Amino acid sequence: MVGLDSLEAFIKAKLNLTLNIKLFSDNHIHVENNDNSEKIEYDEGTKTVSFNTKNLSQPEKEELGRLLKIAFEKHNKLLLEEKSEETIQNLRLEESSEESISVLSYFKDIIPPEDYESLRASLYVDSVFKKSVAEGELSGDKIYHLKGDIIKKHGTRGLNICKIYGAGYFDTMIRPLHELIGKVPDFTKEKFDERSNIIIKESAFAVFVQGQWSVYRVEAEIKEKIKINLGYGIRFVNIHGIGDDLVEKIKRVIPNIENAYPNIEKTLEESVGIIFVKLRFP
Amino acid sequence: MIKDVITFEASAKEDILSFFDKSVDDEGLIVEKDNPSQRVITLEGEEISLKEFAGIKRGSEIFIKSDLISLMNLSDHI
Repeated sequence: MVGLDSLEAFIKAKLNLTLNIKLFSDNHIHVENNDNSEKIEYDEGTKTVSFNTKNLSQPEKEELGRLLKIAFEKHNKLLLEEKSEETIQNLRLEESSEESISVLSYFKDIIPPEDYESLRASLYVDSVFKKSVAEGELSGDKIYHLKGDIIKKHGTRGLNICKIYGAGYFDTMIRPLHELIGKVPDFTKEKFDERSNIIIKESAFAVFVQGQWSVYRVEAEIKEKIKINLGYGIRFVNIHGIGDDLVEKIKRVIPNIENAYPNIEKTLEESVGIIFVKLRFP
Repeated sequence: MIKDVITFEASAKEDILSFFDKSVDDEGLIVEKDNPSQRVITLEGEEISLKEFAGIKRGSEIFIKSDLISLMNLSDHI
């Protein structure tokens, strides 16, 4: 096998390594397919051997595949696309933060497992969002895809959990509600489940304005939410918007809402493309 | 770097699949190379496309999707 011999010779001569399973168990192995690197490169710092399949001959490719399969089957190696590996590392980093540990350990046994899974994912989405804000760019696409992943698995309820966690309502509504158990007579776990379910279902009685909504839709959604909230005896509505376009839409609509409800009291906070409006009924 | 992980870049996905005797059908779904009518499924019983493919875990070749929830669950088991 001329091709394979050349690969072995290449590794030995250029990298002072031997092409065998030990190479795969002792080093980090990376597989790529591009025009930018040699068929094999070695990074001593990270002990990474990179194979570029584009520059390997067929026999060399077959040998790489054989060794990868041995590493996978006998040495319990996991094969993972690099972006997914990066996501897992970021996820682990995020989940090791004091805030995440506090949130996740508190809610793990008090909300349903599906909601807990959505909450965990929401913490990650929130960390990506905060990072992008800190870096001065709202990473709309990335956030959109991550939220899409939650919707695919947990539907609208998962998305609601993501929105209300991001807006702080797990801390300001759901946690205080849970803390009432044992403090308020007759406030049981069943009552907590029932009420927290309403909070999630109704997006914490808030309106999260979405990018594709027209100005008319924004106004209609706010008025509808006011009606729902008053039905529950909730005498306020919070409005959240992210992005310059949404900030403008919300600011255009608020005077119409004030006209429709003349006694309403308004608080408005705005910073770097983020707007929060609280409307209270006296 | 996560211990005991072999990484690959997105452009090498088809090579990795080929090493495990898999290919991609006309609809972009991963199938058995020698029986293209047999689609590969994830632990959740879902078909998996090349675009969604994130990796393979040992245990009768468990195929992993790249969505956040799948990676979160994978993270708990590696």
